[in-house]
Amino acid sequence: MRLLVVEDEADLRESLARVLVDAHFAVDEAADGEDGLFRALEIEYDGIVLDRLLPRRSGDAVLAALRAAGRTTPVLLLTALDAVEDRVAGLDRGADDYLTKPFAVDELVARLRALIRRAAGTPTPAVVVGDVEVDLTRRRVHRGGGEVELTSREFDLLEVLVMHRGRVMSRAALADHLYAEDRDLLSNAIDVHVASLRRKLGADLVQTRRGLGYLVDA
Amino acid sequence: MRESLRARLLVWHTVTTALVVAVFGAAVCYLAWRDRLTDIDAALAARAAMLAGAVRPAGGDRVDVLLGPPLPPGPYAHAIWTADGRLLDRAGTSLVARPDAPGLRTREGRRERTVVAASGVRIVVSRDLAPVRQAIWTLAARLALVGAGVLAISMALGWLLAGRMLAPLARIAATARRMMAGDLAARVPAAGESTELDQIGRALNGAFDRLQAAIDRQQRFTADASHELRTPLTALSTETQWALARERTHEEWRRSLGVCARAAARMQAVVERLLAVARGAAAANARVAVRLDRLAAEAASDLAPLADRRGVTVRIAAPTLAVVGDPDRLREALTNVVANAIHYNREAGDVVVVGRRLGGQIEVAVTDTGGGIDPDDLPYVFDAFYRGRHARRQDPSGAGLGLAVTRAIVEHHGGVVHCASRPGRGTCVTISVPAPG
Repeated sequence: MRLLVVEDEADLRESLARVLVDAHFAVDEAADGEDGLFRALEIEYDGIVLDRLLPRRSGDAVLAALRAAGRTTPVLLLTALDAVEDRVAGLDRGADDYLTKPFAVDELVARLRALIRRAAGTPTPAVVVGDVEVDLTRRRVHRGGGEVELTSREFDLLEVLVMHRGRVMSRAALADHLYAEDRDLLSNAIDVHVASLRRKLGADLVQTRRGLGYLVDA
Repeated sequence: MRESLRARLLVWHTVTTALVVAVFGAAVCYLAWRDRLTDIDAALAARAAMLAGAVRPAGGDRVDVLLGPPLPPGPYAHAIWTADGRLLDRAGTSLVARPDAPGLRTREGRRERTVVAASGVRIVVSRDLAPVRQAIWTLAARLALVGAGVLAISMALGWLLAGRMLAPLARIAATARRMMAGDLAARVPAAGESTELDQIGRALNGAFDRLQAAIDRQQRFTADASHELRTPLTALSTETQWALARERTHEEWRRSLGVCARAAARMQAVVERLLAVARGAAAANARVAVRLDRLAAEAASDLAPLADRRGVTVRIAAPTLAVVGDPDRLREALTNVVANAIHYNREAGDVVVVGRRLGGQIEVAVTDTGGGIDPDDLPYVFDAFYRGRHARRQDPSGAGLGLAVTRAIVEHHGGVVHCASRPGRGTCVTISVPAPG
């Protein structure tokens, strides 16, 4: 799952990025509203963490422009303003959630996961596909009663496919959801991970649509 | 409160009206009585004169009374006595007592006139006053009736009028209650008249405007202060939570501690500036003669490293400017302004500090050649934490407190700060304090 963090304070932005990377997100960073909006329109992020007071373009303006462009990317607003009317104003402008600074990082991560799940139409953290059960919160996979050990990368890929189950995901789309922009990736990395997922979870779970991409059936 | 005021007004109004009606009625009755009495007295005098004319001395002790035809019956009566007390004639009266001294008097409900005719004959004419009294009482009763009616109408009108006059008070009270309940936009509706109550309404509206402005500024200050403090606080807490989540490398811990140290330094800076704003007035205690032109030169030389770094030239043109105040605080006020002028200038720009004496005011104007201030931001540049779009872009680390501190200091010295700006051309901040003496 790939996130965009828009925050002007460099230390806070980098801290947030580190926290989110620790929580197995791929994270892009933007230091002002203009750059944040550009990236948010460029790439299909799974979620955006948006500060409200930003230079060049306020968080509210970024949010409005994003929604005006028809993007439904889940947005979590971060703000130091904690009056009820501020929170209401933020949510009314199209934010999906709201967190007041300072916050517990566990709460931030949990809220982001919940936002992303909800946006993908998967409100419960446990998803069952055939004989495979995926626990998105604890990042565990069971098959036929026994736990299957996946690498972090394998789980990330499975998570994206499960979140978008029923839809064919091209390699480029998968890469968009899996890797932050500063990561170089081997061109066949996704194919390698798909192969090991099939080895561990059965050949039928991840299907191939030749020339289009991969798919996990709904 | 209003109802009791209305009732009180009505009571006073009623008492006054009743008094006027009563006095008027009494006066009417008295005058009528006097009128009647004057008529009666004239009639008595005429009758007495007529009777006296009939008395003729007949020599010796004898007198003749030559009475004409009998007088028509009426309320009048008379009696005629000789000087030695014999009753000569009597009509319409049972009066037998000896007459008194000549003159007019009222006795036993009758008006009497006694005259002395020829040979000491005394003539008493009188009239019964009972019918007159009766008539006056009837008049009084009618007047009382009319007066009561007038009073009733006047009370009703008074009650209505008092209500109408006091209605603006009710509106003012309602507005004040709304303000109290937190509706800061509540204003006393203007009736468009210039009555005293309208003036009160306008004065209150003015006070409400200022109150709202103060509360708005307070809210903005709080919001901005919370942002300025919470952002580094969040960096601190996020970083420590990350660092403590699991084992990190030595390098990672070093970096985390660096983030924490920077966050702490930033919070400290914000807190110090906040305290400076709060102290702004209080700390400026010294009142000594200072030279504002020298303070400006000191401020410029303090800032020389910053100016060099940005390639900005600072020029000062000021005559001797003597003021009374706290030199340290005044220097801080000037330093903040000059620092802003350097900071938000273009590369290799100019800052011109011009001092002059203008009437009773000493003025120092600091002009830069920077990007100017957005007209939308201009009214707020002296508010604590307020930072225009431009300022945020140029210097994301500033707290937006310098000019707030300057304003606090200058205002404490009885002066004003003013900011004019042309976007793209530059900004001019003017500090103006009263000249001593």
